[in-house]
Amino acid sequence: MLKKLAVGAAALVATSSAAHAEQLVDSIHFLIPGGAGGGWDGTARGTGEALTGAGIVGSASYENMSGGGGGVAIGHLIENADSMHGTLMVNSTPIVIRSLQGVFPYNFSDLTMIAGTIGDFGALVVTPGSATTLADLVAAYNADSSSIAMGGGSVPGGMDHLIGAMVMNAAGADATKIAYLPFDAGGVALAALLSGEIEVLSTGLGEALAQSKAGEVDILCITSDARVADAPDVPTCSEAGADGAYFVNWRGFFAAPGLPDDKADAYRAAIAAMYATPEWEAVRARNGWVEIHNPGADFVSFLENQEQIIGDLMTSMGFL
Amino acid sequence: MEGILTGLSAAFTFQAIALVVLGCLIGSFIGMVPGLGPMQVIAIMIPVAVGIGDPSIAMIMLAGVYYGAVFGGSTSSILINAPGVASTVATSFDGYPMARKGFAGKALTIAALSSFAGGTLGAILLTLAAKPLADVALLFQSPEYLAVMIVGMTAVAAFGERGRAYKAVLMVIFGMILASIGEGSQFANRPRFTFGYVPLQDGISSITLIMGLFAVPEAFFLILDPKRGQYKGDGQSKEINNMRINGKEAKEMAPVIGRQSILGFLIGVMPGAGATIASLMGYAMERNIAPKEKRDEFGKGSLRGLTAPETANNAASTGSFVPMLTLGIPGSGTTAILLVALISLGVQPGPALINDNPDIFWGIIISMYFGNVVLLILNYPLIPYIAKLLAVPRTFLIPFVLFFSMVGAYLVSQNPTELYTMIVLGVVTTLLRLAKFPIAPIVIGFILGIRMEDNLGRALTDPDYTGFSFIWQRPMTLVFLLIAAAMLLYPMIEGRLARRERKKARDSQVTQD
Amino acid sequence: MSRFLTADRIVGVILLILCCLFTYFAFDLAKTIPPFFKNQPMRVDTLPRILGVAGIIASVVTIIAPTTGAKARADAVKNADADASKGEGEGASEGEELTQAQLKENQDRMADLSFANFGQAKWGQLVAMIALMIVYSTYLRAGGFIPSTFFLLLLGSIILGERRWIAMVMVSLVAPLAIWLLVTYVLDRTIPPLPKAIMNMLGG
Repeated sequence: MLKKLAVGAAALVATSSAAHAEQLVDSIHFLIPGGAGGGWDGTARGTGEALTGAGIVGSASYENMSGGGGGVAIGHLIENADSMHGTLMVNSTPIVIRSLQGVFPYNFSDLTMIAGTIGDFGALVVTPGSATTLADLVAAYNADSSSIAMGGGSVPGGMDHLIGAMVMNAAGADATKIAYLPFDAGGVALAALLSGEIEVLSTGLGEALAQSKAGEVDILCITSDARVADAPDVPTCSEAGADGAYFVNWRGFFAAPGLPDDKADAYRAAIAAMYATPEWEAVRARNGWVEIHNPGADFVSFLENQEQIIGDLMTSMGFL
Repeated sequence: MEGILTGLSAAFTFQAIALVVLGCLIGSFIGMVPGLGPMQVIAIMIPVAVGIGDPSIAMIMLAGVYYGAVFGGSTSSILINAPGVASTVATSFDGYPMARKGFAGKALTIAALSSFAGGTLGAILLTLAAKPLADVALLFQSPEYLAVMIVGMTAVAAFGERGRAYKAVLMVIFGMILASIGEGSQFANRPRFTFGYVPLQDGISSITLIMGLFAVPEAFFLILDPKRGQYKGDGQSKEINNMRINGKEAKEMAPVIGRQSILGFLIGVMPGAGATIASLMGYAMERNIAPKEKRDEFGKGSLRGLTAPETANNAASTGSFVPMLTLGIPGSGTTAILLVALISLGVQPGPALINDNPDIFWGIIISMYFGNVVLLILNYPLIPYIAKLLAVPRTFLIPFVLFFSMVGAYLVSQNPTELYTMIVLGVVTTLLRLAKFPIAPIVIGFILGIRMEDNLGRALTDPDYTGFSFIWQRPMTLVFLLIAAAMLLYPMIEGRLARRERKKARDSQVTQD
Repeated sequence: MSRFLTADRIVGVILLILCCLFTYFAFDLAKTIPPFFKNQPMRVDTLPRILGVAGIIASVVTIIAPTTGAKARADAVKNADADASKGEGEGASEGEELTQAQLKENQDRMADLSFANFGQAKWGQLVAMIALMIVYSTYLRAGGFIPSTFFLLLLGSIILGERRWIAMVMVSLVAPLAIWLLVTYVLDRTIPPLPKAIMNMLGG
C-alpha cells in the first residue's frame, strides 16, 4: 500500500515536473518562409505551441515571409544574421532539391542547422484491386509503359516525382519513361487517382494513411527503413522489391549563420526536451506527424547524405 | 433522419447560437481586409474550434465564420473595388459600378440575398444528393477541367468593346503573360522570366494582382477626378442606404439565382474547380444568354451581373463539401483547412462518415443552413451602415483604400516586392484604362491561365491520349467545348445580324435624303 | 490627339514591344531545360511561346485596325453628353428612382477620363500619392508599421487637400493601431510596430 502510494507520488511529481518543465530558452521568433495555412506555417506554430505550452520556452512569435519558394526568408536570415540570433526558420526537404536545381542561390550549409524534428515517408498509392503489390505495378508497366501514369503533388522533377522515380527504378523499371502528371495539392491528386486519370500516386504517408484506413486506396509501399506503427501491414519499399529506396521528407529548424554554439545548443536542448511533453504529443497527434529527431551533427550528416542521394538520382534521371 | 434531428438539436442550443453569431461577425469584419479570405479566417479560428471540442458545434461556428468571410469579401469588392480574394473578383465587375452609381445599399442587399440563396440552395442540393454526387465528382479529369476553364474564359466577351474585341483578347493574353512569371504553374519546374530575382520566383500573388488591377487604379481615378462618383440627387446618403429591390428586379434575379445555384454547386463538386471558376463561369453564362439590352448592362452595374457570381460562388463553396465529406478529398484551400479542423476534432471525413457518424455528417450540413440564415439576419440591418462607408470624404477614403490594398498585399508575404509590383500594376492599369482598354480580362487571363496550363499539360502528358485526342476521346470535354463555342458565337452572330439590319435602315434613310 | 496616333495604337505599340521581348525570352528558356524535360509534351516554355506569339498578333491587330469606329464612338459620346445636359435642369427627384438623365450623368461620372480632359485632372496629387506609396513600401519594415502608416494616412490626406487636422491625426493614429492589434492578437502574426532602433532599445 505504502509502496503504491510512493509510486503514485513519484508519478505525480514526474507529471507535474513535465507540466512545468524547466525553461531552457527565453523566447523564440519563428521565421516561416511561406504563407499562413501551409505546411511550414503549421510546423512552426505547432512546435512553438508545444514549446511554450510546456514551459520550455518563455514566449514564441511568428513571422510569415513568403517569396521565392522560401528563398526570400533564407536570404533575409543570411543577410541580417548578426541581429537574428533569436530567430529559428522552419524548412524541409525542398531546400535540398531547390539548391541542387540551382534555383536557390543558397544551400542549407549556409545556415546553422539546429535540428530535424518531424518527417514523413513517401508512399506509392493505387486504387484497391488495380495492383496488389509493387511487383504487379512494375510488371504492368514493363509490359506496356503507356498503361501507367504516375501523379503527385509536386512539379515534374520535384519531390513526389523523385520519390516515385526512385522506387520504380529500384524495383527494376525505367523511371525516365513514366508519364508524370503534376497536381496542385494532395486532394486533387487523390481525386485524379480515384477517377482513374492516374494509375499510381506518389505522395506522403501522412496524406495516404487516412484514405487507406477508409478503404479507398491501397498503399503499395513506403520509403522507410522499417515498418511504421501507424500502418503495420504496409511493407517498406525495400521489402516490396525496391531495394534501398529510402527517403525521408523531413521538416526541421535552422538558425542564422554564425550563431554562437551555446545558443545553438540551447535551442537543440529545448527541442530535445519537447518530445517528452504531453503538449507536444497533443500537437503531434492532431497533425499526424511522425517524430524524426535529428539534432545538431546528426542533422548535418543526414542532410549531406540526402543531398548526395537526391543529386545522384536527379542526374541519372536527367533532371539537372 | 435521426442524424438530422440530432444535428438540429445541436444547432438550437444557446451556445451554438452565440458561437455562430460571433463567427459571422468575426468573419464579416476580418473578411473585409483584402488578402484575408475565408481560408485565412478559418485557419485563424481553428484553435478556437478545436477548443470547443464538440464537432457539430465547432462546425456551426466555422460555418458562420466561413459565410461571414465570404460576405465580407463581397463587401469590399462592391464598396471600394477591392476584391480581397479571387472568388469575389467577378462580384466587383458589376457590384462596384452599381455602388458608384449610387446604389451601394442595393448592391449589398443583392449580394447578401444572392449569397444566401446560393448557399441555401446549395445546402439543399447537398442534403438531397451528397452521396450520388460524390461519384459525379470523380467523372472529371484534366481534359474536362481544361474545357470548363475555356467556358469560363468566355466571360471575357462581356468586356469586348463592339467591333474592338481584339482589345479584350490582347488584355487576356497580357493577364496570362503576367501569370506565367515565376513558377505558379505545375509545369514551371524552373522559375520563368524572373531573371534571377528571388522575390519574383513565386510569381505575382493573386491578391497583389487583384489590388493592383482593381482597388489601386480606382483610387487613382478618384484622385484624378474629384467629381468622380458624385452622383446626382440631393439625398446622397439616402440613396446609398436605400436597400429596396422592387418586384421587377426580384423577378429578374430569381431565374439567375436558380440557374447559378445549380451550376455553381456542380462546379464546386468538381475537386479541381471551385468558387472562383464558378463565379467567372456564372458571370459568363448569364452575360451570354441575357437578352441583348440586358447584355449591354454587364460591366456597368448589371443586376444579373452581380447576382450571378454571388450566387455561384456561394453555391460552389457549398458544393465543395461534397468531395470533402464523402470522399475526404479537399477540392479547395478552404475545404482543405476545414478538413484539418475536422480531423483535429476527431472526425475523419470519408465514405464511412455518413454511416458511422450520421449526427456529425448532418450536423455539418445543418450548420450551413444555420450559418446562412444567421448571416442574413445579422447583416441585413447593418447594410445601410456599411454602405455609408462611401459617404466618407474622399480625402479620407482614398488614403484608406490605398492603405488597405497595401496591407492586404503585405500581410500575405511581408515582402516589399509585392508592394512595388502592386504600385506598378496600378500605374499600368490606370494608363490602360485611360486608353479605354478593358481590365477585367487581365484578371480572368491571370486566374484561368495557370489552371489551363496545368490541365492542358496533364492532358497532353497522359499516355491515354495521343496529342489532343482527348477532345474526342472524352465526350464530356467535347460537350463543354461546344458550349464554350456556342456562348462566344451566339452574341457575335446576333450582333452581326443586328448590324446588317441597322445598315439596311441607314441605307434606306440615305436614299430618302 | 491626331487621327492616326490613337490611344489604342500607342498601347498596341508598347505591348508589341513587350510581347516581342517576352517571346524572345520564352524561346531563350529552352537553353535552361534539363535533358529529361526536353522531350515532354508540355514544357516550361510551351505556353509562354504560344502566348508570346499570340500577344504579338493581337498587338499588331490593335495597331493596324481601322480608326473609323473611334470617330463614330466619339460622336455618340458627344450626343449623349448633350442629352445629359438637357436633363440637368430637372433637379433632384423625390423618389428612389433616378431620372434617366441623372442615370446617364452618373454613368458618365463613372466613366474614366478620356484623353480630352487630361488637363483638368489632378496629376500633381496623383504623382505625389504614388511617391508616398513607394516611400511607404520601402520604409514600412525599417520604420515600423504604426509610425509609417500614420504618416501614410496623414500625408495622403494632406496631399488631397484635407485640412481638418484633429480628425486627420485621430484617424491616422487609430487605423494603424486597430489593424496592428488585429494582426498581432487575432491573426498571431508579427509586424514590427515601431522603428527598428526603438524596438531594439525596448527589447534588445
